[in-house]
Amino acid sequence: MGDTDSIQIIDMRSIERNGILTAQVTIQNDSKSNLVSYRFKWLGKNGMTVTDEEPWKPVTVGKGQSTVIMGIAPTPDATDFRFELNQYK
Amino acid sequence: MIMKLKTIHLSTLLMSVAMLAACSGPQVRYGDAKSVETVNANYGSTDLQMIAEAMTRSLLQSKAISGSKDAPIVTLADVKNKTSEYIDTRVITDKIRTQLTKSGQVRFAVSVTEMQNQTDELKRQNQSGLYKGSTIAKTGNMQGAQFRIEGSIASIIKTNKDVKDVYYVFNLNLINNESGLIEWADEKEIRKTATR
Repeated sequence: MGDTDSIQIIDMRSIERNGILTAQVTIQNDSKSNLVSYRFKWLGKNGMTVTDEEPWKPVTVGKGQSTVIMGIAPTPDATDFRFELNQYK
Repeated sequence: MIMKLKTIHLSTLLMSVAMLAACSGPQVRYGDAKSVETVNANYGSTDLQMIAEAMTRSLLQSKAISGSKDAPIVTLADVKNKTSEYIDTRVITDKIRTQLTKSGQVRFAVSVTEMQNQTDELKRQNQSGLYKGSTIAKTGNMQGAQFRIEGSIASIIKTNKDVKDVYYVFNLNLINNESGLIEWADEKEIRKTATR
């Protein structure tokens, strides 16, 4: 979403911790612009989202730098996730 | 005569344009309540949403909550505003409470601020003599909270003529009411910089 071509997702993994799905996404920025925001979509067994949409959260990644983003599911019903990136002004 | 007519026509046109501009007013659009807000460096909706989400998710994963057989009963205590800004900390804790309640992992007992409404309702049902006995919510059955949530928000603000740098740190604790032990604590840091 938005112009996030310069952002590469270099790693994405998840684990269940204390019964709650926890996701970890590593992103890398190859351009000057670092005004990106992200959010997770948490899905249940039937593929439907388990809660309302999350707010977009800004993240600062310098040129050539990578950063690790952690996401924790809002309920134990979440079994899968989607990761969304966007650019904000 | 022709010149005079033209002048009248032109002035009527100008007046119509001016009236239309005055009547049109500001353009109103609905926006995305979840989008990143960067109007200025003051505390804003994105900060509120980020703080509430980070605290809720961290708390849900804590052993105090996830390790309980039944959803533990929690109550909201104070979140102190130690910043120089006006921040309604109750909105933050209410948002945390809503998200935790929706998760189904936690139950909330009425907080101190809501206690008056609770006792008023019990009094109304028990003392007014208006209600059928079998339907009355009896006194003495309220449940005490095992835990309380309290915390603080503080800020460091630095400015020069070109830059305003704001750093917020929000701290939240889950305290066992019986033992007085802090069972979980977490913090959320936010840095914002406004440049001219």
